[in-house]
Amino acid sequence: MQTVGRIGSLLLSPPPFLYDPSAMHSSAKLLVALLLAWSCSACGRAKAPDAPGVRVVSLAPSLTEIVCAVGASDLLVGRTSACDYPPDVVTNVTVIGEFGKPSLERLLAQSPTLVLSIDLADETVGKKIETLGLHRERIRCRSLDDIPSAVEKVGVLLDRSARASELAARIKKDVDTLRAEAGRLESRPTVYIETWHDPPWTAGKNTFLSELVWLAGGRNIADEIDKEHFQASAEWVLSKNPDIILCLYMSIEGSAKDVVLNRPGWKDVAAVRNGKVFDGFNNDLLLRPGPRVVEGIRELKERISQ
Amino acid sequence: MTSALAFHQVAAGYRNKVVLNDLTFDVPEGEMTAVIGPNGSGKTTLLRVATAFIEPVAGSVSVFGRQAALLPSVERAGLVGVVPQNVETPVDFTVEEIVMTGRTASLSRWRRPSVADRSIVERAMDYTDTAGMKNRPFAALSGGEKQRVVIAMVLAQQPRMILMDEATSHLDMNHRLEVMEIVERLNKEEGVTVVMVSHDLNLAAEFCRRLLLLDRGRLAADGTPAEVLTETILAETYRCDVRVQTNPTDGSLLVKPVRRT
Amino acid sequence: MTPRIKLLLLVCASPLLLFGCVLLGASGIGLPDLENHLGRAILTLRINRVAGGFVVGAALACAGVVFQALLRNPLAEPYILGVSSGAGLGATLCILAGVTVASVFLLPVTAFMAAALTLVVVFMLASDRGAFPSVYSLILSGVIVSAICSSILMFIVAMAPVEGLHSVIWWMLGNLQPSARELLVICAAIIVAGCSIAWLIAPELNALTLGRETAHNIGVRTTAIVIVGLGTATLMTGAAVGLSGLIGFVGLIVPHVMRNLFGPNHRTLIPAAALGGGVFLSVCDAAARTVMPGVEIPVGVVTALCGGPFFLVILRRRNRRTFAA
Repeated sequence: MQTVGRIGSLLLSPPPFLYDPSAMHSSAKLLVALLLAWSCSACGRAKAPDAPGVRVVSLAPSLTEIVCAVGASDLLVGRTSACDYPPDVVTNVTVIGEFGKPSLERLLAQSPTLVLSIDLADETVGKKIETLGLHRERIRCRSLDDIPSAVEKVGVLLDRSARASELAARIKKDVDTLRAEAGRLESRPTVYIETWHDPPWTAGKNTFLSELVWLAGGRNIADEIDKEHFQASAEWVLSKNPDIILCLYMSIEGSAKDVVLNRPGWKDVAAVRNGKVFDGFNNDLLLRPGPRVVEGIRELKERISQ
Repeated sequence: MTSALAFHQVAAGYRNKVVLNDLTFDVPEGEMTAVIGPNGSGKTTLLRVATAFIEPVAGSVSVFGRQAALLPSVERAGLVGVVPQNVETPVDFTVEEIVMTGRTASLSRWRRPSVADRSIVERAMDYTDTAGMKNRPFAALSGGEKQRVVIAMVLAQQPRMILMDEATSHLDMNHRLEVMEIVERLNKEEGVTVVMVSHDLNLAAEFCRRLLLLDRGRLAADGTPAEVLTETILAETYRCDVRVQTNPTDGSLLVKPVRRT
Repeated sequence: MTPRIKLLLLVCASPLLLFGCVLLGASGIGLPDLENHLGRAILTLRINRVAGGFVVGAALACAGVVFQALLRNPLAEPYILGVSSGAGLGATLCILAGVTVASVFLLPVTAFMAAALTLVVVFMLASDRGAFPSVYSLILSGVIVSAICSSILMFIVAMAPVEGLHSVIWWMLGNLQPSARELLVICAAIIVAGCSIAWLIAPELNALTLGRETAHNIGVRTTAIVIVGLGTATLMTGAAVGLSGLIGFVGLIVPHVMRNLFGPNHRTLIPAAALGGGVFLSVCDAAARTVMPGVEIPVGVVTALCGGPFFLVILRRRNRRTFAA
């Protein structure tokens, strides 16, 4: 039972792949102490961003995509194991740790001049990086409207402002178009978003996913609950009787859709009866607030309007 | 004359240590016998072998003619009861509940205690003068009261023989007397065989007609108090000088160790 | 009021309370609309959940009573002999192997077998060269095995891929919704059998609280009863853990409170604890799922938060019939 208590810090947080890195291991604290001594000789203070020899480490998959999208992939010297797009570029970039759990030692070994992290990241990790004398930038990249400004900020930091502005403007225009279309909709099907199956988790009001679903023409049944990510009660989902169910996860065995279809008592839900349970999405598009988000919304829209 | 407890060349002990060695004796039914001896001579082991809590490594033990190790627990409970030095329970039973525990071997598994069970418990408590405290918590009683309750518990078992393991050692003289008088009554009026282990030689001499003296697992002496409690035998067994005085008025014995300083 | 009368009251009140639990749910208070399929599905879900809660609560409380009697220790509870850590380890390995989707029975059965295996290991560790283990050896071995399983579990948790980890943690926090009706029926059967066996050995349990030697002298077959008692309690706990994950607090506190209210005689204590534990857990679960509609709060959180203060009040008011300190 003490095990549960210790892991209890993960209790109230959404699954880690939804931007909630866990706390640092205590062994890493020792590492930090050792590295502090070593780092004095190793790295100097950050150089000016536009000086030659800019070396960027990205601590989030969305930031990696943005860095590559603004044409700065040659400056990227470190990424997390979760950063997998664009594939041909990132295979050449060293992995410096897991998302939310970067290895400080490997981070330092890349001699970065700039470390990019998203502002949802656990601040203790961020502070430790700064204590090591590295230049860290927090980029706000949480909701749809954050994306264009995040792109522009990265562009400024990496001296690719021109391309960044162009990309940001394009994204903004696409999103505005989608918003206008969504605003004109007369009716919306109710949607139940499932982000994990065992136990069933969903995304509530004010989450990125909820926004995407709205733009794609649906209405998230969890919008009435003012929590971000939570375990959904089966009874509640049944009582809401959603028209569409979206399974946004990779099941280890078999298809995610079948798991939902076979649940006892769920066969009378409208979505199940009408065959509107969808899986097999490119989850990266939907779970990462990044430059490809519009693609993701279009895929959702296509399924929802079927 | 039926034999209540018979040991025949019994050897017994614990994991690495053999405590009893070639022990042979016979206690006939209705007798009141004391088992005495120095620490480590095997008195408690003797009782444990008699109740089949430990199995002997050699020899045979029979209780009322039956092999002790082969007796089913329920039958054995009807033959032998044990009054230990103290009974501890972490649970807050009342006196009546403790005495009722004595009936466990005969209680029906499916029903509540029957009228017969209840009357046996009542009688046991009356006999030991504990009926007045039957609803009091056992843990709140004094040492003397607790021992009387324990005797009532053993009486509720209705055994034909009672073994006492230093049951009065920690009681004051009044309560010690009280307990011994109850036991003597049981022996004389009900014919219950009594075998008591005691450190108190004078008490043993006063109440018991026969003494078994154990020394290092063997029987060193067996006979009446006058025969066993002699200065030579005691000095050799207890390895300390004693004086045995006979009271001229009532013939009772008094054993006193001699100080060395 | 004698304990028997109190027990009768409890027996009468329990169905009413359980019915009340069925009325509470995430979609609102009151029975759902039985006309349409969804309403009926919701009602089935609720009934299964209340039944699951009752059965698990009864198992844990009854097992707690048996462990406290056999180990003569007020801190004994169903998980004391390492059962929770062992079952947790088994369940974790099962979840991370990805086989849980294959059959809904696989996870519960693995947890159950892991629990049974843990008891066997603890027993063997505690038996020193064939002698029947003493209470202290059992508790000590239980603590050691528990620590070892916990360490292995933590290691796995540190290394595991993130998705499976999520399932593991939430399984361990406990969830009373049975994943299949057959599972509920099988576990209920095991638990009812277990409680019945415990009730049947109640007089011997009373005697065993006096110590093994005294119980032996009263005529109790101590070895047999201890094995039957420990085995039954562990299997009941294993069934409960397999059905619902690890739910704490119930197995430790409910026996104490019931002993306080009904007296230490196991004849009345065991049925009282079973009923009381079952109703308590169902009520806590009903509260848990109604307080924040739509959101599932782990039931273990609610039992500790609600039960703790409530039981504290009871234990302090009637100080008499508890474990003698």
